[in-house]
Amino acid sequence: MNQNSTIGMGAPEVRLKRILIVDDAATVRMYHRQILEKAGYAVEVAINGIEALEKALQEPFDLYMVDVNMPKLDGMGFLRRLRMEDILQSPAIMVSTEAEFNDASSAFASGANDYLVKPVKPQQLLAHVRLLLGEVDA
Amino acid sequence: MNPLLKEFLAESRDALESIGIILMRMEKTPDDAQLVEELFRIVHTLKGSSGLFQFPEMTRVLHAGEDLMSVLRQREISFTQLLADQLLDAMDFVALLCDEVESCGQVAATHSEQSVLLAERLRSWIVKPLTDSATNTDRPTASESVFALDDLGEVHPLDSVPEAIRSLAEGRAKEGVQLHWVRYVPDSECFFHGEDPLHLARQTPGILYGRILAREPWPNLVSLDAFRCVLEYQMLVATDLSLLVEHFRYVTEQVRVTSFDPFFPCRPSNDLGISEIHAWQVNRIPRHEQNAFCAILSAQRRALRVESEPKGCEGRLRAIALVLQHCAKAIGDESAKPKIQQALDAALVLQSGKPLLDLLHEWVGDQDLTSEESESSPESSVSPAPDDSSVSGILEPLLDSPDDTKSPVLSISDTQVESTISGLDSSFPSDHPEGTFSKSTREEGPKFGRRADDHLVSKTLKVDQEKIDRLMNLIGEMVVAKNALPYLAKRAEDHFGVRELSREIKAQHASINRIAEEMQDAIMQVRMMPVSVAFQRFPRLVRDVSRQLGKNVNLILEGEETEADKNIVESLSDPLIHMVRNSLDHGFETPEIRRALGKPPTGTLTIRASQEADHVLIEIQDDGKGIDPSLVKRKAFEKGIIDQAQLERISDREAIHLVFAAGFSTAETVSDLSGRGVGMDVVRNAVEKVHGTLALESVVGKGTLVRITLPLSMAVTKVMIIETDGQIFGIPMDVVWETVRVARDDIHQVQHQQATILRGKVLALKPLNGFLNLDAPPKPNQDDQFAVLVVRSENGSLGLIVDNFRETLDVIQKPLGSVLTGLNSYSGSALMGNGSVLMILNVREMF
Repeated sequence: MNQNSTIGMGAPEVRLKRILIVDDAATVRMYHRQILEKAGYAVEVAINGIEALEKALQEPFDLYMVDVNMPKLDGMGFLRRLRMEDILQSPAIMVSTEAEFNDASSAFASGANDYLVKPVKPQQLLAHVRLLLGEVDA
Repeated sequence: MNPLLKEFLAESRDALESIGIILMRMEKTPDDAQLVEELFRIVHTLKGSSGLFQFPEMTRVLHAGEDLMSVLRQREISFTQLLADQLLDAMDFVALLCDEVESCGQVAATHSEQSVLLAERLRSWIVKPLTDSATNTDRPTASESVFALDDLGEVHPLDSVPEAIRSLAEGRAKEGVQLHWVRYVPDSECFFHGEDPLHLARQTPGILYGRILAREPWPNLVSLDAFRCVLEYQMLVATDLSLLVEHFRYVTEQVRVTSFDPFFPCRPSNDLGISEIHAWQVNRIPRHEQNAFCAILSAQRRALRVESEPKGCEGRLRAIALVLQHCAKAIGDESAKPKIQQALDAALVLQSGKPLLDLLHEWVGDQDLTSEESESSPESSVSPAPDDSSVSGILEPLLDSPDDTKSPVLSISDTQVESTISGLDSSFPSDHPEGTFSKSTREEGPKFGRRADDHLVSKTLKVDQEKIDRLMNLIGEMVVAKNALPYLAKRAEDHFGVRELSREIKAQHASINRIAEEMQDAIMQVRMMPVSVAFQRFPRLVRDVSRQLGKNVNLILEGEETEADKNIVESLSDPLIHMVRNSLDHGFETPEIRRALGKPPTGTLTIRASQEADHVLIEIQDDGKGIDPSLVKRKAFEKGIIDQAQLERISDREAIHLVFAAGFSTAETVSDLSGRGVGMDVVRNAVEKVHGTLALESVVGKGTLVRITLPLSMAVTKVMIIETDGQIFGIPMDVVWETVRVARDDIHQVQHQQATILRGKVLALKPLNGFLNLDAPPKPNQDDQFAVLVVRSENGSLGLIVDNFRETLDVIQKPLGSVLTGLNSYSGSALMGNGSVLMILNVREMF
């Protein structure tokens, strides 16, 4: 099941899965972060696409959780640029309000693998994250 | 307080402030698309964040605001002042709610009515229904209104049911029990018929969840008729319909029952059909992950179909393949692994998602493709739809709805589903799948990463103020601690007689001193902020107030980037507001009068900030009617601020400064805005508190200029140490004018006052001992001269007779705490190098 659960006495060192939350709303960042950190992921945050890209280029993440509407570089723009990098092919979740998903196709066109509608429920978020990270095992 | 809530409050305050600023700017440039975009984004973000909490009033207003911004940005309506007014009102309301949440943790129910009103007013601007309100109306025939949609008007009934109940309901449904949503709206006169709606509702068979709602916003208590039922009951029940009918047989016309789709009662967050679920044996996945699984799988399918730019194509395909691998792993399909890899390889060669899409279709079927893509996708016939016909017949059209989060997978009735489909068809994006990309285009174009690197230069850290205050305190202690070194050196020399050590200590002190000073400087820099922070409120203030007064005033802000210590900037805010209000209220004439005087009808108010040496200069200048010294004199006399003698000899220049005296007001009537005679007095006090000075210039008929000089930073004060009656005291250097020695013979007694002639001018003298209630007479030095410290304030000069002068010292002044706060003679205290406390005198009190 969850890889992280193997951390323990004598177990080989297991790297925590790294997730990058990209959102300009501090409250939303904190909310998602709390959920994910409690579930045992290493979470980092970025407040816009530019900052997110910088972080991703420094050290790629296992999953990206990206807001659509952000200043400077929005979610779509960020994903488009992310997908141009050879090393950055981890799954990406687009997160936004319903109104914005009238245009879900462009989210997919820019490289999203999944999308969630705000406010995301903790259980729902974790289910998606676990699946996208390949942590669900039959 | 919950940290998340705290974060939210801080975020909303910032956002509300920005909204205000942008609206102001938009009044000047209503067509600036960038501003509208920014405005939309902020309102939108705020709404999103508020949705994390249970503040329906706030969310309602913000949602209406967001919708309004959305039409505004699509240029369906244009920006007007009235619109800005209403939006500002709404934002003020939100700010009010924030305050309330901060102080008592929740929003009072009384705001509900107002929030509805504000939201309606905002929405009334929206001529055409918005995209998302449009989907609201498209939603399963609203006329049925079987779903009592929540007051937000768009919450799906099951959405409002707690997660645990939902999964319970799902479980029951899987066992074959029918689920219903019951909405019971009792007759408002029901109590007179001997009915007990609550009892009836609670006795409903198979009830899983229930709630009671008010049908309309609560009226105020006075008009509330307690004998009418104004409630409605909503329940989620798992039972046979026949039992429900039996239960509610006496009130059938008051009850609406909606039956949920037996196969998929709970809204999956996406759109994979039942047939696909069977095909993929998702039952092997833990139940609460099934929905996620379906959603993700369907998302990959959509991602593969969508056309994308060639540049990121490879990355996209690899990411999709990775997700597919994870999905296969989730259902334990080992055989899928190599197939996905093969498909990916093929896809990469083709630069197209088609091989992966084909593979996906092989597994989950593609029955939903036929309807919309027959014309463009040749593979629509690759694999036949699995024959789970009856169910998929209903669900099929719902697959891949672009608005899937909205489309309830509850099958309500055939007609309703039909209407959903037609609604979806029209809004379905016409993206074409399988765009094949040529390699050449892909290899063009620089990689973004490199370019992005170039942009990533400026980095800003948001640091909690407390942390900086802590640094400030620490450096303060450091400054004090370092002051101990010269004292040590002196002791080493005088007391222990080791001059060598003394010299070494002094050398060491010099280097520590330098580092401490640099450090102090650096920390000061952190605390510096632009005065624009204090200026931000003015555009709105000037606009609101001038309109209220029927005056036209144009505000010009200059030098907003000038920086000063945070405390100074913050202390600026209130006095500036008073002055701006005063200026608007008393300074400017109405447009008619201005015209008659030959002035431009629109007045100009300029607020200017600049830095001069170690001071910040703030000037507030208006071109209004100016201050009439004779009027001021008369008023001051009437109010007893000056006496007859002063009235006769006071100069015009001095007279206008009387407006800063306590209790002065020239306004004929007390207005809402100013004129209570407290304004300018408050200004003076606030400015003096941060060791600033005020000056006023005014020309009748031309206007007034107020000049405030403030120190750049008030963290470190230079004080002069003086000695009297065996004690030492500090006096801030900014009031010390000079130190002189006056021979006993040169001190004259003028009536009750001692005085001396200093460079041809009379200088009043006061012994400090007298001021401090010390009985000892001042001590002269061996030449029978007294040490006189000449201090100055706006009231003139004064010579303080002390026993002796000592060195000057940098200190961190701390305000007097607890019982000492009432001592006006002292402005604070500071720690000395040897650990003793130095009291700092408040010289203004001595005049």
